[in-house]
Amino acid sequence: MVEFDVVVIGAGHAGCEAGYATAKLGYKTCLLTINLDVVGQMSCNPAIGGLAKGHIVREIDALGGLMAKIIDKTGIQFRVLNKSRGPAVQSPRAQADKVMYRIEMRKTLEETENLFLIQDIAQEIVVKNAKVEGVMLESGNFIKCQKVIVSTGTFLGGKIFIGDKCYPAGRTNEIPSLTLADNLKDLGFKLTRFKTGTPARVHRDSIDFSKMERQDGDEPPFFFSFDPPERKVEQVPCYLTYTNEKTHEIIFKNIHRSSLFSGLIQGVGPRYCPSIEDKLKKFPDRERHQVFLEPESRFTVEYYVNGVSTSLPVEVQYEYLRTIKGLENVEILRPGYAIEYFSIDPLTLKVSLESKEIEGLYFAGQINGTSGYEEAAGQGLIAGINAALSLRGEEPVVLGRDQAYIGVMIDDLITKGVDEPYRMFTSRSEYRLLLDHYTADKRLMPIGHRVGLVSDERYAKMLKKYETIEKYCKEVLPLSLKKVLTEGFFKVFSEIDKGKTPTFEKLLKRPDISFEKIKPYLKEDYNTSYFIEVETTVKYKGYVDRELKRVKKTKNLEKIKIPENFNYNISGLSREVREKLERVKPQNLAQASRIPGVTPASISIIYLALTKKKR
Amino acid sequence: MKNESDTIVAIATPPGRGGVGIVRVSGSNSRLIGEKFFKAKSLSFEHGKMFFGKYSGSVEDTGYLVFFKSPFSYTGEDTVEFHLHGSPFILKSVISDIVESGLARLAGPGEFTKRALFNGKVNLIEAEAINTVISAENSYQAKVLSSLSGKLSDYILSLKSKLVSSIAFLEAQIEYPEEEETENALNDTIPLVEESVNSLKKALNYYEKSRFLFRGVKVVIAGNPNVGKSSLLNAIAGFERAIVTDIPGTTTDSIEVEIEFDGINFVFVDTAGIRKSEGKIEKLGIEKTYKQLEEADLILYLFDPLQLSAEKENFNLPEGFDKFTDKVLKVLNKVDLKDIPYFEGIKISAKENRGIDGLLNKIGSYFKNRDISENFLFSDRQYFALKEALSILEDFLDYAKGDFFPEVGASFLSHAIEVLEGVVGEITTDDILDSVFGNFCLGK
Repeated sequence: MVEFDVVVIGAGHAGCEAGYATAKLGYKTCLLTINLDVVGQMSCNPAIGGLAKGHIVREIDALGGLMAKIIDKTGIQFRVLNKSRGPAVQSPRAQADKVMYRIEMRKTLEETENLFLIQDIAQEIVVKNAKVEGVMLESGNFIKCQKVIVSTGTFLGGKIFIGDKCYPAGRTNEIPSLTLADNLKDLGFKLTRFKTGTPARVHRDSIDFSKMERQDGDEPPFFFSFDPPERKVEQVPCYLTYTNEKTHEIIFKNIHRSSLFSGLIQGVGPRYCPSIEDKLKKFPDRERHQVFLEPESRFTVEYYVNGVSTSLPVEVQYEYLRTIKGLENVEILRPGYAIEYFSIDPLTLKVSLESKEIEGLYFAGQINGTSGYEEAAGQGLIAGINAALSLRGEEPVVLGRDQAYIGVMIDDLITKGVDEPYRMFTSRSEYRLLLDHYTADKRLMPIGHRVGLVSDERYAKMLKKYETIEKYCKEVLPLSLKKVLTEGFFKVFSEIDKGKTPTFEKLLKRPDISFEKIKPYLKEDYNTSYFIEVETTVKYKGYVDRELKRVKKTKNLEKIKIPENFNYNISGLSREVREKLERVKPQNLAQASRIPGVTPASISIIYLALTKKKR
Repeated sequence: MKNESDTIVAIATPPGRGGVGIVRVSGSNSRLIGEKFFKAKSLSFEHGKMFFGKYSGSVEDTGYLVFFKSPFSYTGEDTVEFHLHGSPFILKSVISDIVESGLARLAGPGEFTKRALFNGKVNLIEAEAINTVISAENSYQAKVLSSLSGKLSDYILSLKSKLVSSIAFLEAQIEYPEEEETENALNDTIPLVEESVNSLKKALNYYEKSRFLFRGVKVVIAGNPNVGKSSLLNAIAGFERAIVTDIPGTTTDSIEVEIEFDGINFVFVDTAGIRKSEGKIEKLGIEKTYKQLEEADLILYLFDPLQLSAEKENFNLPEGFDKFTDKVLKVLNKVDLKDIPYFEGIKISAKENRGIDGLLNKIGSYFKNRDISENFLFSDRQYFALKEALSILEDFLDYAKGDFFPEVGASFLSHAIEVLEGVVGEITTDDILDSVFGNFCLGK
């Protein structure tokens, strides 16, 4: 027997963040992996970030997590999406070097004090008196511990499908975790079958890039982390092409052979990441679908064919890929496949991501019904932080819906549950304008710092940053254009009516004007490295206030706490509503009001009952 | 704090003498109260059955008892109804018997409906309709109301779905910047919002024309000092065919009389005199009077023939009245003293009670002939919520005229939806996503 404070089961994106957090916060942590050579592996597309997901990565960074740091060190292309829109919906994305990413991740974890990466398979979580005691491993070793964080990704009862073939696996050619699934069932967890899929990987030299649209990264690259590495990135392009009628014809002809449509697959797949079969079925009239070629690594010849994930037989994959412009002679290195796995019902979790029933047992990532690296990592970090805080005897970190996308995600999971793999969207937040990724540091670094994942130095640097921004807003924005800008500006932007734009602020308010455009004409003393944050303040002025007003309304409901053992057996609540409330056990009235099917009238009844009890 | 599970009692039939009077009891003690005060041969408290027997408390009366088992009653709770003779004395005695027994307390206004609402028996709009029907003390109003609640729910739902799909365009553009089919989001969004704006404007206008039904008609009597405004008010109060329901005490600048006439409730308000010589009414500094005029459904503008200097005089309204012209009825008072033949309005003598009949008939038909068939709002709360939604949508269109950030636009629209759903229920952001993925083919 060995003893650890924390055991993390699974070293994917959730597990790495979780293990890093508990270890960094001083607790001896065992990070279990089925294969020590693939830690922090990107099982699907070779990119991190994008809309809403990029926001999450920035939030992870502000809280003191890893994902941003690792991708900054290993990314091979960096772009900010939605640059023509406002700051709240811009989002960074990076093409990852998959090989380097996992090597860098492993290295970072191995260098973390208190953290031990161990190759073994968790067989049983040992629970006594509704409390975690330890983990039994397949090797026969038993680890005694106080906290277990389960982050099994697609490995729990994993099963791969290609056409009519199907075999148990966690990823291609990796063994799944089977006994743990039974163990979780025995512990009272209801397991649901979800499904996801991935497209074929093809050989670089079999692609005719000259027939495709090239897409380059931004120069200079925009990094994810608050303190980015000093690094010159040689950016690698991606390529864009499209399916066509011929492609569709072949897929339609063979669709009955897809495991998805032959009835082999039972699991529910993500609507937001449909297979090419799904897309064609749902939108039979579309003439073409986008296909995006992404390099997997600088060190391999593999390209990821984004947009055509599939569970068709390999020979059909060959056939339809070769109808696509630029892929006429394509060679498949690994076929696309669909994978089914178990996830638990996140309604059984507290907002800390700890099980409501079993003390010391946390869940994070795909096992909670989400999809995506970033979503997993965000949960992993929070589960890790909260496991550590619990060991310290402190209250868990709860991120508000108006504070972070991670907060929105966890609240959605534990309040609404999932009936398909959950993917983050900016529209899931009702306070989108408040959650722009540029200010994730301002919102979340105080929490990361208080917890102990963000160093004093880094925190001070953040405070200084916002001091500078505030000073700039106060002192520079009210100045006249002439004071701030050189003559050159007035020549180039001659259409701007000086009378109507008396101040620099008025100028920035215009959507067609950005710091980036006017930078060359700024008088030197008015230069700041925090342009975008200043711009956000100006551009969203008024609109942000509107949203803040809306937040306030919810905040009032949030203040009305519901005790954990509250008895919902109140006359007036329908049985259906009562059951929902008992399952979710909302922490406050605001959360209760977000449970689907709980009516405003029910909220009033609970409110009455709550206030009555107080008197 | 009212305990939601205690038992309440009230007379359920309209006040006054009637054939049958009903006392309704709702709550967990209902059955107990029935057992205590009602004697019948086989009082089994079977759900929905009428038991013939005798009420015996401080008074005795024969009648029926009906028991409704929770949750199948109006309120959703156990309910007992005593159907007795409609004498106010008997009914009031029953109430005091029950309240004195300590088993129930007197219900607050609308409390039965409130319980029905809390117990999920009716939704907010229905509850509102019921309450309006209850407070609508006459048949004409009640008849109109009963059909509205469904219409409103349908309207809000259809408007909401329009706005949700308008947001969906913007959301798709935001979430999938690289997809080709999301490019012209704003072009798709604006017409939907414009449609919504027009439809809201119509709805509000219908209500403005019809709201007299739900809150009564407010008639403001205006005119120079000493034209006989108070005399007219008194004449109306004393008019035999008008049922005077209330005369609140004199306030500093207005006296009100509430009457029911021809099936419609009227409130007549006497304002402080408006001096024509001083010109604009704002100058009078009587803001209250101006507010009364604004809120009025109808203004009776009184002229005094003795104050008019014969031929030269026309019957123009003072300057500040421009914006009210379409709701002003010109009235010539004191015709017993002096008639002006070419005056085309209504002629009365308040002092002599002459022409009051004609005046009221004219007022009555002014409202009764209105086409209110298209209205479906029936409370000011609904009206103001729709008005707020309208103003947010107009802000959106205004914003969309300039350079446009879709996320700011979406923020306007989701705010408008939030306001609208306050009228019926709730929506989550999931609805929007569903709409996005119902209409677009997108993937990563």
